[in-house]
Amino acid sequence: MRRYALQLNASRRFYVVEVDVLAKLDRNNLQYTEVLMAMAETLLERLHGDGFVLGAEALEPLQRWFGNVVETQTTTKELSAELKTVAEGGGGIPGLIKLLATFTAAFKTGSSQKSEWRREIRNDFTSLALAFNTLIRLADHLAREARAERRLLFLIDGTDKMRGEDTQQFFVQDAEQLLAIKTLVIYTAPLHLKYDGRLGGKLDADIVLPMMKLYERDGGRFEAGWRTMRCLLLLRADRCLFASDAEVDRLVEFSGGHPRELLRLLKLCCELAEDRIDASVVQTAIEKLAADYRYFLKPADYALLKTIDSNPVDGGNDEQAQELLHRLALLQYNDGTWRRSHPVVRTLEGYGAAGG
Amino acid sequence: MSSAFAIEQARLAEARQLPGPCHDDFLRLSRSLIHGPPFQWLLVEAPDEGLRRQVLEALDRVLQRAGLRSDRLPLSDKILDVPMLEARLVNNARQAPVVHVIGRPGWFDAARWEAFNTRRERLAADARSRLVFWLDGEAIALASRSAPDLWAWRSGVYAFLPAAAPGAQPAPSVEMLLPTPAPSAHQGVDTRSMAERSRRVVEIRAWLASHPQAPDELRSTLVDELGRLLFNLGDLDEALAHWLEVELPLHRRLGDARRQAITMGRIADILQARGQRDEALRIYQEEALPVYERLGDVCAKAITMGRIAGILEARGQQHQVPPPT
Repeated sequence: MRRYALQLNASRRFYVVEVDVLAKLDRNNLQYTEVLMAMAETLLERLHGDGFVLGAEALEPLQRWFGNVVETQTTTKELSAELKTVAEGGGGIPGLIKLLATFTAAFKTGSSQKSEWRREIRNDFTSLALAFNTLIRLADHLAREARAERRLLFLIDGTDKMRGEDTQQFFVQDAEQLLAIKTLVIYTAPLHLKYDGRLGGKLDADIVLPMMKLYERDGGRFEAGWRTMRCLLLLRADRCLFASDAEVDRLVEFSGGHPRELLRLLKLCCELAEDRIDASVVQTAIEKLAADYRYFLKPADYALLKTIDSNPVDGGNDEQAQELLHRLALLQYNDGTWRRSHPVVRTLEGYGAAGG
Repeated sequence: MSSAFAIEQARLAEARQLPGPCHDDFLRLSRSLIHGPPFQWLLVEAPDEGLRRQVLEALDRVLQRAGLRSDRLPLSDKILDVPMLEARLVNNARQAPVVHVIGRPGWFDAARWEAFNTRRERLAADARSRLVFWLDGEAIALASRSAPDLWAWRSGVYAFLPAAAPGAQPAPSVEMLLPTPAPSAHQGVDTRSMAERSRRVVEIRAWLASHPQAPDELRSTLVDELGRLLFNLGDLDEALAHWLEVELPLHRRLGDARRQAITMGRIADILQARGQRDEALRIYQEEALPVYERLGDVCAKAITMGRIAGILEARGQQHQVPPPT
């Protein structure tokens, strides 16, 4: 994500605001309410740090929102003092930053106020979203004026590491709230959401790193995939390290078209080989990788994999299939149109013994 | 830090001392630690405490040769939760490029693995060390299920299981161990790599250990090959002990005088190399040469006389070198 941030900034098309929710907040108990606070805090810090001056019209909606909170909430002494200052229009950007920092710190430390603040934000989310959007619109305008063609872009790092139930809450139940913030945002998300189905259509474009198809659905070879994977392998290991082309092709074959699995097989070969990577080294590497899968595959998993292999199109999308996809025991091609079990899994005795 | 060759020799020597099933994974693990990147998360299935200790100590000796200091972090009751573990890992990683986390059954449950999963990027950033987690199979299986993203980052999974364990490799059968057409002691060169020879030592030892009742006639070829392999690999102490305690008694039981003489000659070769010339000379003159003379083995006699001459010359006693007959 850090690399992406640098590249996006360097493109001169985006004014990137990186928010590391894990640093600012409590990853074990995280909701969109505090993530929005962290986004607002980081945006203001960035603007202030870059010397931007935001006028009253940018800050006033947020100050007013916090002013309402003062009237309706009992709170700690520290927060009430900050709130009072901001609500009265004092402090400017530094005042708002200080208040938001106090909020995020309270969220992080598990303050008893957390639930109350969450409830308050939820109850009055529309006003908060409007206030935040005003700030964003004006910040966007400033960024474009100062650095031509720059649009505001948030990079939210750490949202893929929330607890399971928080992830569901954040990306599925609260997706509408996320979309209510009118700006470009890139969230990190756990891969299983991609296959979850419940996410479909809620958030905008989801991008997954590509698999290389080696075969067509009917079993015919897809030469472009083979060429690409061979190239990928030979960029990492010189051809002279291999006893023959057959070893290169066998590694590609048993990667199933997954780049990381190909490199994992290559690493195993490098651990095992004494001289060159020959047929016996490749065979042992395949066996070692298969042994890793043996740790988590259960009889029911083997049965499902066999069923899918006999009918690659209709693999189903239940939780079991999603788990197998997430853990690469099952690989999918053509953007999920069809699936097949990982080649090394097919060498396991459990797969051979499974019905399906 | 030792030379690359010395490190490689140490790696193979340590691997040979371990039970047979541990040989290959020890070589893999040590290679990954020595030559891999500075941050790695490696999982080792080593449920047997005694074997784990043996492997760890062997590994640490190799790492020391390679200039890599290691630290140990036992998962005791004092480490209350994953945040504490993370803090300890970061601290240990600052002091040593290799950190052995010694697992305890049940410490890592699903919740803890999930919590560890969320910390993976911070660990990679802050605990930049080779993190070797010594666990049982159940903990590793749980990691694969409950920490899928961290599991995807694994640098390797290795297993050191006791020989009797279900997952351990069975000792190779005699058919599998029919000696390769290795050259005789007097001609040819063994073209096998050091690692192949090391592995062969382990194979032979495993077979001999699992077939203690095998007749001497069946064992003798393997015993002979084992001794030569140990000598060729530079493991002179092991070779000497093997010849004195295993091979010589075997040939005596078989009444094979020639093989006894050859073995005594090899013993003398080592003694001579270690400066124990008197004893080496006595063996050549009194135990080997008479046998070759009696058997009419002209070639072996000539070689032995040459060795005798070498010792006498080294002692300045050239005039005592027996003339050729």
